Amino acid sequence: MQTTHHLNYPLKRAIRGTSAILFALILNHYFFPADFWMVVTTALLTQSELGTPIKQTWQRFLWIIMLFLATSQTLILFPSPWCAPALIILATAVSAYAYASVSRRYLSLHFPLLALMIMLLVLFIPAVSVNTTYLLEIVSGTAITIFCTLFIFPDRPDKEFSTRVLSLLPDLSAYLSALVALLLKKENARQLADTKRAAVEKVWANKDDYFPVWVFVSGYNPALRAGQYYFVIHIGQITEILFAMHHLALHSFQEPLLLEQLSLPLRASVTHTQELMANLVLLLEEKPPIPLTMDFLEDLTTLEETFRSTVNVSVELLDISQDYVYLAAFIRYLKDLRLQLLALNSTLR
Amino acid sequence: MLRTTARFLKLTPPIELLSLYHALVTLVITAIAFAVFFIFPSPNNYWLMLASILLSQVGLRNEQDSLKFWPVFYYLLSGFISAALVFLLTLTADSFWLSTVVLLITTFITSYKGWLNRKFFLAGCVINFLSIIAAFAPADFTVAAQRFYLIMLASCLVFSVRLLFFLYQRHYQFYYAKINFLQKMKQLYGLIFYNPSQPASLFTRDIDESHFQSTWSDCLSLLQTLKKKAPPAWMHQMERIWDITLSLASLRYRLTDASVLSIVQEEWKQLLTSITDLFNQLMKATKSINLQPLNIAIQRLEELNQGILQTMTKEPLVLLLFIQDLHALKEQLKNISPPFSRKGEA
Repeated sequence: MQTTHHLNYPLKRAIRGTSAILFALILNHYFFPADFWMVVTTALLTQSELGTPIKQTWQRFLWIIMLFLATSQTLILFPSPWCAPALIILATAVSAYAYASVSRRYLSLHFPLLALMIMLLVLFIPAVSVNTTYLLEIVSGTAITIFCTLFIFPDRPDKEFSTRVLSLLPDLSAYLSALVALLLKKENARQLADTKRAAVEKVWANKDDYFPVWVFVSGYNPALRAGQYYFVIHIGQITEILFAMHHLALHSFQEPLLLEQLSLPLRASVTHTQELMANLVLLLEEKPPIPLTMDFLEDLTTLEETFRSTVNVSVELLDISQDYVYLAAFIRYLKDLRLQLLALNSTLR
Repeated sequence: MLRTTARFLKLTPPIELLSLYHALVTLVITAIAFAVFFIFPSPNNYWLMLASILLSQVGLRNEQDSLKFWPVFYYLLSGFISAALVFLLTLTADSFWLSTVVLLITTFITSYKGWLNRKFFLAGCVINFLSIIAAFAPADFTVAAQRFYLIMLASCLVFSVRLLFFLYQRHYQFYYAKINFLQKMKQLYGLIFYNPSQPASLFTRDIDESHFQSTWSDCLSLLQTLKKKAPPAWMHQMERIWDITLSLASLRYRLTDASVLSIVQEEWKQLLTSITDLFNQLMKATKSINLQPLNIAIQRLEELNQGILQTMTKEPLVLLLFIQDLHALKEQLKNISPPFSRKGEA
């Protein structure tokens, strides 16, 4: 799987972060030359995830203020020389535990580390007291971050959504081809299917990096959320279908003649399914789709009829042969796949 | 005391305490850094504390990396880069524009690398953070060199402790990944056989699809981790069980008539209980797993399907395929590799 489609987004984030730091450094130099709180706050707040940057900025701003006040007040109230080390140990232990426990939960990854950073600063940098200057610096840093988030390469979650989904669709299409080749027991089909499967697995196993996970976060733009949520759920269901088909494709058929008779209509169905996927890619790229030359389910109806006429048993007696059941299941999955793709295509048109 | 500690460390802690191990590692690093802090007092010693505590957090990205050796070197590399930048910025801190340029370049590179590859994200944050602190603490060459050595010492400390714990803990990482995977599979089955007492709600889509997707993608992530160390035969079986599980889950969008399931409430509960029980047995690595309850539950569902459901439902094929998937699941569990053997099959 290539990540070249992601190059633009990291560059934009890097420019935005650097600009925020530049503004913070300049303002800090002229108004608060002796302190670093504005710059530190800006550096910590610019690292928000895609989807809800303003909400995350506010949340972290509140965290920073609370931690700053809590830590500095504790040191004032308990000036004992053991207070600072005790606080450090407590903060470290809790943060490390929280970090490891929630490290997979979206957005909460940074909070423990952020908490640790703020507390360490207050504990180690001497002569910090509850001073309105420091609070003003933190607020200024937040304002700079919000300004940069809104005006310097602002996030385009709709574009980023398309980019990430676009990278997955060709992998799904290739995986489908490989599964049909595996079902028809073509040469090297198994290795090919495993390779294509690995590409799809990589995306889902590293969802945070390759998939638009921000769609599920509360506070995300409601105008975009409904459509993107629907899309993501159906892409997930398409992936589930393909994984389920893998198990069926591995089955050793006792009647290879059965496969041969179904080979042509099966391939035709898969070709039409891939056409739909290609159309989906075009729609996501905002290009005109290729006009479809077939009725949406006609080829599948033909496949089902061919299967029924070849097998020649009713549904109730299908389980007299494992081969019949597995083929019926595979064809049914092709139908499910087609219905999912049709639903997505109609959403985007 | 040492013997007790060794015995404690040799124990296989419950999966819930895995996070505590990370906290324990961090505490050890903090304690050693503190010891140095007090034994060798110096005005700049706080750099040792800052660097060691923050650098100890940068490596833990996901479980797939936990079985690999090379991420341990992240600590050394991050430490070296931090040390070099702190040294440079300490010397240039008196010149506003020079230090600004260095900071901006640092921010740009760490931010870019962090967003390009999320594995480097936290390391980038920590490097940036330490650089900013150094830019506001100007000092002469001696102090700059001291800070450099302190941060390098911190990164060596973190590297050494992490390496020791890695060598000790990697024996258990595979075990944890396996247990985690089986627990997630149980959760997944809980969602597939959701709310058997209210079958109508099963198909008013009360299932949170995002939660379901998140659960199975977590399972997949754990499977990827297991691939690195698991025997190939066992891995192949787990992947087939995984595929069959997703196949079973297809019922939630295939079966459009909820009233059908109101007839099979008891059988539904039995299926869930028997499958959950099987995963519990797999987690305990019992010598033999008992397939009898699952067998009975499948048979009862099959009888009901042949007797009543096939005539009631609009799509009899859907339930037939569901039952076939249950048989396939049973077969996979029956043939699961040692140390799991089977008993109780029909």
